[in-house]
Amino acid sequence: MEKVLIDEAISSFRLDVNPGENARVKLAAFSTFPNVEITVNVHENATFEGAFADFSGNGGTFVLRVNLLGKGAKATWKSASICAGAKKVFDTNIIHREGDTEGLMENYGIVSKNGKLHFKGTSAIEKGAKGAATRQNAKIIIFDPGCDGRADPILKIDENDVKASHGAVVGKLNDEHIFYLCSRGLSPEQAKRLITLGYIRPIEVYFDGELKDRIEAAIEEGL
Amino acid sequence: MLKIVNLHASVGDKEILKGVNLTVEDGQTLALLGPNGHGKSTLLSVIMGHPNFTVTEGSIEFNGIDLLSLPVDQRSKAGLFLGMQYPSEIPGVNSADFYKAALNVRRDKPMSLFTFYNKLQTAYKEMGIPFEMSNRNLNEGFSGGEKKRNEILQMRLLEPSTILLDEIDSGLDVDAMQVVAKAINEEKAAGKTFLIVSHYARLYDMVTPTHTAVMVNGRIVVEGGPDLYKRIDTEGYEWIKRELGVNLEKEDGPMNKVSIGVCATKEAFKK
Repeated sequence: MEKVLIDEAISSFRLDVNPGENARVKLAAFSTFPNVEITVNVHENATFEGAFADFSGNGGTFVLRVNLLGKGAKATWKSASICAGAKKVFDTNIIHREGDTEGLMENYGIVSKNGKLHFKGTSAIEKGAKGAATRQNAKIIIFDPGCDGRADPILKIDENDVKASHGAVVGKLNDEHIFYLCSRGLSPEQAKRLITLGYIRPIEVYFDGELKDRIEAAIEEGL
Repeated sequence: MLKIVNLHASVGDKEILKGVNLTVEDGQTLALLGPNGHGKSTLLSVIMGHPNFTVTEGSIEFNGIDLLSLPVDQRSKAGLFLGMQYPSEIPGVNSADFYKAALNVRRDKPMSLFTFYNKLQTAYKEMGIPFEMSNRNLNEGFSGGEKKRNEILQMRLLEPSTILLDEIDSGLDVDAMQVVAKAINEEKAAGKTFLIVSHYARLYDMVTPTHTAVMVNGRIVVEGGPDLYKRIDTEGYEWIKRELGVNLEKEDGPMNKVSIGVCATKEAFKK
């Protein structure tokens, strides 16, 4: 099962991934930020893969709640957002209700033009979910002094014998990196662009064809 | 020609360069030596335009241009190259993409992909680096020696006229040293100008400098021919005090004073 939704077509929904099945959800926002709540229930030995590329100019709160309900259930979620002058909240939750489940979320963002970007990530392992493994990464690059970037990784662990970890980085581009690239002839703007491209571009691999081209163009334009 | 006159530069409140006077004529190979923490790396960084340093006095003229008025990228395009002591690891930036961008900024028309890949392949082969590494992120996860070879590879690709090398030989094994020395000698034969900082005579012996300058306390205290670097290699710096009356100022202050351009690792071991 694959669901590809763009702009206004992204609405709140609930999805059940039945035992043994795979579901892929791909979201791309170019003009409208989806102020929506998405719930995904992943049953036994089922897999959910989600990706969200966001370049929208307006803001809001996007909520994703993934419930890993059966043994062997897996979920991965990757998002990349360019937040220029908008106020955006990504509230991403992966809840391990059953043991031997795997969850991974990665949220990457760039904030510019006094924008505000907040990655709130909750990885919960509930009582009884032995052998669950969960990981979350959040990275935010701040472009200008007036911007605000926050990453709140939350791990709620209520069981032993589990793996849980997180990584969060918020900061401006490294001056040393920019100096290195400039010392080989790139202008500071080109250097920043190259570093940022390397950071946001990995989201492209989750998309194909025309949509992939559109995302590439949006990244180029956004930088 | 690179002409440095009465150059003073600081990092924060600390003055590191305290009136450097040094001229490197076209085609010369200058060996720049000096004890740790006396300003060699800082001088090279300031010539390239590192933002951590503030020039408070003096001038640098490069082929008639006022170098200090140029931003870093323009200095590179004017023909300067700095092979760094600690090249940055840059996540997400593909090496080949970066080299292509760096080559194209100095051309009116972008280089064709075919020409670029041929040039790149030749450079990798010369430097003894597997070509697959061109697809890796810039310096990311490279060993110390790989990073240094990668600097020399960029020196070859970008074809600068004046090359500053900051301890390019540290971290190189004997074979890699041969490869690097060969590349330097080929560039020398093509008339390039070099300013090479090293602590060891080994690299100098391989590339035969035409001149030597010694930096102490943020100034050039003595200049000479190749004999000078050989003397330092055997006798150290003690004679400078004896013969020239220059006292080596001890590094004071805690280790957190160590900044970019100071060889921090060596400072840390210098208890």
